[in-house]
Amino acid sequence: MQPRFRLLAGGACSSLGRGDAAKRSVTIGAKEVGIAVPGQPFGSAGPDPEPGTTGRFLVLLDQDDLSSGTIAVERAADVRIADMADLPAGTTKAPKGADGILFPELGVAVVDVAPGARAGLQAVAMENSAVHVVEAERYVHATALLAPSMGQSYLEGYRDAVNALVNNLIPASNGRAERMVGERVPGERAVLSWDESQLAWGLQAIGVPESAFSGRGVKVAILDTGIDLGHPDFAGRDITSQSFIPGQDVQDVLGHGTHVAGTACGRRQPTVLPRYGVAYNADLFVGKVLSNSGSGTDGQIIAGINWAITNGCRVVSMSLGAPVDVGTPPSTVFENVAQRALAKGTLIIAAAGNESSRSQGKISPVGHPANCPSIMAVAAIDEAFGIADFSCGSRNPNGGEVNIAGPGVNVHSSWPMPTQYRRIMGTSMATPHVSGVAALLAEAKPDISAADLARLLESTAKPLPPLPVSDVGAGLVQAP
Amino acid sequence: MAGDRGPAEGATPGQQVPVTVSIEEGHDIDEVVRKLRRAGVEVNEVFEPLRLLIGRARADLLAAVRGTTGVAAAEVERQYHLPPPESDLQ
Repeated sequence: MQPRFRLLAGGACSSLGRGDAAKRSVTIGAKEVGIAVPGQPFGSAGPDPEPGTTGRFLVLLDQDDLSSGTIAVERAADVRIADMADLPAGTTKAPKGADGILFPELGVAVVDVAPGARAGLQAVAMENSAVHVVEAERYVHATALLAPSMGQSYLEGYRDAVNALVNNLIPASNGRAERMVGERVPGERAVLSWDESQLAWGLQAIGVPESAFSGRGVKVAILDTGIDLGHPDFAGRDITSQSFIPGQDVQDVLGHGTHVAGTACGRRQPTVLPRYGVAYNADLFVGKVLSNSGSGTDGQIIAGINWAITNGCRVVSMSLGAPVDVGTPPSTVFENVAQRALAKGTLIIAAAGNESSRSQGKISPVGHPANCPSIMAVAAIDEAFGIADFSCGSRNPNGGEVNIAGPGVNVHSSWPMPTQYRRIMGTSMATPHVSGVAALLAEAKPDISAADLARLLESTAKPLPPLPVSDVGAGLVQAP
Repeated sequence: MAGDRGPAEGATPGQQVPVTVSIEEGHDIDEVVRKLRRAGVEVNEVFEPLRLLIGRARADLLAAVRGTTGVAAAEVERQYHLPPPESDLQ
């Protein structure tokens, strides 16, 4: 079996950030983090000598129609693109007479575009099906503060300056004390303060507020414990549901499914802020494959996948799994299922698993069925863009790699009434962030294949240096 | 999320275990199902879009099931168990 989604792990590109006008990067300790500050430039406060973009653009082309996409870009931006296949290995700059390089294995062109032609380049991505995404290439300075000459006092001084600036830019809500950027509570992980008065931090981190898409017309299946159909945030919503648990209806009594469905597809204006749902206009399909006691079987999950495919769902979100050992190969049955799903236009996205205890040096392998090559495996990051302590890693080959990461700590979402809302953590919570973004991308690219949708998720993810690809795959999922 | 390896481990040879069977492309699904039934597999449901069936088979017959023409893979069902709902880690 060959991994299906390993084309773009972010290595060829510097960074594919979103919402550049409103988001800048700062470096806290060993991590580069993006802080959304609407309307406020933020980078000028940092030591970064060259913030912002490189002036070049990354263009993701349809892998099956590279030649049409390349020609369209050349015409739209009045550039000439050289094919890497014709250039010496290791070439990173366009040869004389060319303005860009096409990397055919990646389906990506890196192009220098004159300022006057940039609007044309952006337009071609919307108009031409062979051109998926155009992104301004950004500098990455993740290691800038890690130089040996820069001591702790410098880092602390920088952190204090960032804290002061953030506090000036973001008014504290309800007068409560906000924790400082990078502040550590004894015994706790690093935390980053987010203003969640309007939007859950996870939605901010993945660029949902800036997205023009809502998942309209895209069917998304959540296979889980069902959903609280009486929850006010789902009232009036057209939900297609089916239980695969004998003798139990789709009503969620545990909360897990309601939380996951809320993150993927919760409404734009919930009864009580903050907003927590990504694809608020998606057509929500809820398959109950885990019982009221939280148990399920392969057969019930397969029945749910079959139902989702039959109903034309483009995304299947599965916040479930079973642990595997190092050395355990992926399930051939589930890999075949996932390949047939892809062939029918359905992408399966699954939780990587929560079995790690990283603080104790234990990184457990990605669980079943996320360890199948044709199923996307989702890791969890925290509010400071660190890997979550529990998040499983790439310990096994042939599909056992993490593909992408999503917000999975302190995740606010819907919970069965009367509780209404709850904050929990897990790769189960990271997964629906990715599934929701998949729905946004599927809306933006209605004709894209399921395999290309997976590649697009990876290629538009934001790399998270210094976190290794083995922990976060292509990086943090980003809304289009 | 959490889970275990399913009921297969520790099954006695004659014990019936729940199985999932993937059917190879190019083989008639109905014909493979008939063969499996003749071999003693209890077929509960067939998912044609997935070329897959779920059912039950004796643990000591799994090797024979896997060797049946048209069978791509046969696995004992795994089980999944969520943590209790009061847990903060899900």
